[in-house]
Amino acid sequence: MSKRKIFMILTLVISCFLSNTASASTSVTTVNGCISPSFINVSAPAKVIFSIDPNAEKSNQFISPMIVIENHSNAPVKVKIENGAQNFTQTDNSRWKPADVLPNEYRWDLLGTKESESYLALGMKAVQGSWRKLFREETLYVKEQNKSIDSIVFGELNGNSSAQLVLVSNYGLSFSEKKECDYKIVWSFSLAD
Amino acid sequence: MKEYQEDSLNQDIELEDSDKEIRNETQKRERNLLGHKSRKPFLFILFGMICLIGLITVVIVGEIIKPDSTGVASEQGVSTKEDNPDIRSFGSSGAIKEGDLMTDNNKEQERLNALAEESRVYCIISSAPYFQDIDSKGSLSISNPKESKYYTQVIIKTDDDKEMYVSPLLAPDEKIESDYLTNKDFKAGSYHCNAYFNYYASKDSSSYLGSMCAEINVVID
Repeated sequence: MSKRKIFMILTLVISCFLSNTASASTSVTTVNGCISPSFINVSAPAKVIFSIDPNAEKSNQFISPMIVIENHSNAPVKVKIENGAQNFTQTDNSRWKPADVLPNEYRWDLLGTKESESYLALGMKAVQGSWRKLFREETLYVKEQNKSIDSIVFGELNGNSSAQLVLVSNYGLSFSEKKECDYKIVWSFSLAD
Repeated sequence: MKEYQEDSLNQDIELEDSDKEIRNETQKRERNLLGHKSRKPFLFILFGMICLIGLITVVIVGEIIKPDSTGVASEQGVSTKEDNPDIRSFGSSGAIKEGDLMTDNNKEQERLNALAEESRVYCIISSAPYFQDIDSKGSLSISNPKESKYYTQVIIKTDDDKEMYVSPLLAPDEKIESDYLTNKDFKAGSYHCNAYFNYYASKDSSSYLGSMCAEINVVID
């Protein structure tokens, strides 16, 4: 037997011994995951102005901006208005302060100046198609929100997306002077369930 | 017989006398009437003269307060000309545009959208700030990004309206990564809270614009 063969046999024996030894031992690797809580990162308009032109055609009388809520978070968020009249109401500085009523309380096209200048039914409606989940399709009127004992959830937005809402209103058509009205909406956001 | 003839003769005489009286009375009345008729022309003439004087007066007064070309009295402030006013001279202010008075809806919609967009405010905070203990700083991660145009102050309150934290006023492009709770009166635990973001156009409270709210969970170990 040559020296070379003896060397090869010894190498094999040693390697087998070493491999057997390795399989017999146990190795534990601890994986420690640290996940930061998600940020809530959203934006919305602070001021929403609408105008009523009683002289225009019916479909063009009430003009309001599109309310765009943007979710800049990577996580989906829930959009709602908490209960409490202070979260959807006229501002203290509003120059015109009509009583908030529901649309079915008056025959709006029959109102004279006194009633036209005294009552307004203002609401907000989610625009379909832009939401991850839409929980409320019907209009939420100020008076309804003010009387609600629960928070009103509109829906959920996907991460890095936006959704739209529009103002809806019923109003009289007889005004003796220009009227301006400011409402404040306190949006509430949370991570989606 | 004679007596009878005398009686009848006397009666005839009496009747003739009474006829005469009646005739005289009638003649008197006719004369009176003729007298009234004779005054009527005089009255007509008098009335005509009064009318003529009135007409002359109206013409003279009309000349004095003659209105200008639009029918508006010049200096005396009395308008007498109501029909067919003349076109007055006018300047060129460029106010005339084509079309009817209906509002241009698209432009109005764009204007309102722009105003709403200009007032866009931001709400950025950790959904679960963690405090190792009540005296340690916690990871609030509050931010008022550079895109923001307004100041913001964040107030964190528990569900039972107990104030836990009040931030300093943050200008755009400022943030608070971690901070101490401003109210130390809390035990270890997990608190469901509302973080109210109040927005101001300036550092003055009177410039308040509005608020937004984020639901968060504050953990104190």
